[in-house]
Amino acid sequence: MILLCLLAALAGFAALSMGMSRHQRDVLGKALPRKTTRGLKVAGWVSLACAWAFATAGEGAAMGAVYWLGALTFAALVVAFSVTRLSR
Amino acid sequence: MMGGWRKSMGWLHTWVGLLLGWILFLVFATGTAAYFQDEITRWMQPEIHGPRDSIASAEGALAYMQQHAQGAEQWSIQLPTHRSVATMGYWKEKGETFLQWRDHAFMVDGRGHKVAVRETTGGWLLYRLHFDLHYVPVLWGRWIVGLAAMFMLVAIVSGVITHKKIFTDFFTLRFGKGQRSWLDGHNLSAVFALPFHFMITYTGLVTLASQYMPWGIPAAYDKPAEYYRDAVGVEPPPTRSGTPGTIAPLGDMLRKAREAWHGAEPGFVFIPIPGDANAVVKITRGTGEDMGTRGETLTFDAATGVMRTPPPVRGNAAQTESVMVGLHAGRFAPPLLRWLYFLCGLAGTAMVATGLVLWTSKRRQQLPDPEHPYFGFRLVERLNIATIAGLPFGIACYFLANRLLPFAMDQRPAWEANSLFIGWGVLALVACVRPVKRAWVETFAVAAAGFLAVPVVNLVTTHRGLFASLATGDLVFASFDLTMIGCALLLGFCAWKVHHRKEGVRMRRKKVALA
Repeated sequence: MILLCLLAALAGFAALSMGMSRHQRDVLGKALPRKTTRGLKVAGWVSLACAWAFATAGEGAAMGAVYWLGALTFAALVVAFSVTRLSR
Repeated sequence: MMGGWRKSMGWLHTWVGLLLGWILFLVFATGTAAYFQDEITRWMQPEIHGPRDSIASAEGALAYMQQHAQGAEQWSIQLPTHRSVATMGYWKEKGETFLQWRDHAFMVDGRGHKVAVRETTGGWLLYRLHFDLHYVPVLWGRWIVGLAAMFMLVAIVSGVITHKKIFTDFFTLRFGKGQRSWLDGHNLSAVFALPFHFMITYTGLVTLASQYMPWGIPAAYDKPAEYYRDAVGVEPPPTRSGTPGTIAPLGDMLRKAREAWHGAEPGFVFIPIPGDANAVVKITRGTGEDMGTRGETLTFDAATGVMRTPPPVRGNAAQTESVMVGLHAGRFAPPLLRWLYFLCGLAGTAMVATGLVLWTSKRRQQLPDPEHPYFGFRLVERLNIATIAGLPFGIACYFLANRLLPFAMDQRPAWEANSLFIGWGVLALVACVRPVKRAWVETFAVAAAGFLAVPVVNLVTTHRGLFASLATGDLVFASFDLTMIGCALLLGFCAWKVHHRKEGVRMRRKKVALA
C-alpha cells in the first residue's frame, strides 16, 4: 500500500509538472494542446488524492497522513530533479 | 499595498532567517541525524552483538544490581527499543543526584550478560545537541533554541507570503546560474517539505512548552510538583518499612505490562527503595510503541508481582501533547517512514544553508567595493563557511574519536564530544584566515575526507567493517558506513562545484550588455 502511495505521488507530480507550460517547453520542446494540459492537471490531482487513499487504507488515518506527506515530499524532489535533468 | 506588504514580509524573512540561521543549521543538521540516534549508538558500541530480548536483558540487569548494588536508593533499567540491542542498567546511591547516574551505569546484551563496552554518549549526544546545545547550561540552551525555533516559525510564514511564484516555480531548479540557482534550491527544499518544516518547528516548541510558557502552572497549582504529578503521573517514592523484601520474577511483570498495553513493549523499569518490603516496580511503556511518545507507567508490588493500579486514563490535552512530541521525534516511525523523515530533515538543513548563502549572494553584486566588503558582509560570509562545512566535519570527528580514543580513557564520552567541537573549531579557523573561495573548497574537502575516513577507521579498528557487515547482513552497520560515504560524496561534490565555479558570470554579462 505504501509502495502504491509512493508511485501514485510520483505519477501525480509528474503529470502536474507536465501540465505546466514552462516544463512542457523545457522537457518536450513544445507546448501541449490546451485539452491535454487540462487532462494532465486533473490526472495529477486525482493521482495525489489516490496516494492519500492508499496511505490511509494501509496505515489508518493518522499514520497514513504522515506517510502521505512524506511520500509527497520525496516524489516532488524526484520529479523536480528529473525535470531539471530532462530539460533541453 | 500588496507590493509593500510582500516587501516587508521579504525583509522580515531575510532578517529572522539570518540572525539565528547558524543555530538553526545546527538544530536541523543534528536533529536530522538524531532520527537515527539508536542506530548511531549501536555503531558506536561495536562490542555489543546479538539478538534483542528485553525480558532476558531486564532480568540480567536486575540480577547484576542485586549482586552489586544492594544498598542503592534506586535501580533503573533502560530497555532496548525496536531499533537497539543494548540494555543499560544504573543505580543511584543515597545522597547522589540524577546527574551522577553515569557513575553507576553498565551495559547488558540481549542475553542478559554484562558486557564491557567503550564508554560513549552515542547518538544521544547529537540528539541533545539538537535542543540543549553544549557547554552551556541546559536551560540557556533550550531558551536559545526555543528563540531560534520561534524565528523559524516567523521565517516560514513570511517566506510563504513573500514567495509569490510558489506554484509556477514549483518544480523549477536551474543549475549554474549563480544567485538564481541558490534561490531555486532554497525554494525547492522549503516548499516540498513545507508540511514537515511547519510541523517540526511547531511541535518542537510544544515539546518544551512548560519551560517557554510556564505561567499556566502557578495559576492552577500551588506547587509545580503537583502539576507534574497530574500531567505525567510522577508520584513520590514509597516510604521505607525497614524490613527487607524480595523481588518477584521481573519477566512476569514485564509480560503483564505488555498484555495490558495490547502488545506494546515496555521501555523503562524503575525500582525505588529496592530490597525493602515496601518496594514497587514501575514499568513505563516504550517511547517508540505508539505515535504518542509519553508512555503510561504501571506500578507493581515488588514482593508479589501484582499490578497495583490499572493504567491511568489520559486527558485530551495530555494526549495531544504526547502525540505532538511523538510526531516531532518520529520514534514510532518504521524504517521507510524514518528515511522519509530523514529526507525531510535534510531538506530542512539544505533550506537553512541555501538561505544563508543566498544572503551573501544577493548582496555581493550590490557591494560598492567588491574587493573590500563591509564588516557585516564578511562576518556572514565567514560564519557561513564555518558552520555549513565546519559542523559536518565536527560530526565526522565525533565518530572518528569513538573509534580512536583509548578504550579505558578517563572521561571518554566527554572527550568524544570535545572532539566534535575541536574539529569544528579548527575548520572555522581555516574559514577565517583563507581567501573566501579557497576557504569554501578547502573546508568542504576536509569535511569530505573526514567522513570518508570513518568507514576506513572502522574497518581497521573493529571486526565490523563494511565488508564484514555486508557479508553478515548487518544492516545497521552497513547502512551507517554507506551513509558516511554518502556524506563524503556530497561534501566532495560541493568542494568540486565551488572549485569549478566561474566567478562573476553576471558581472561579465552586465559589462557585455553595456558595451
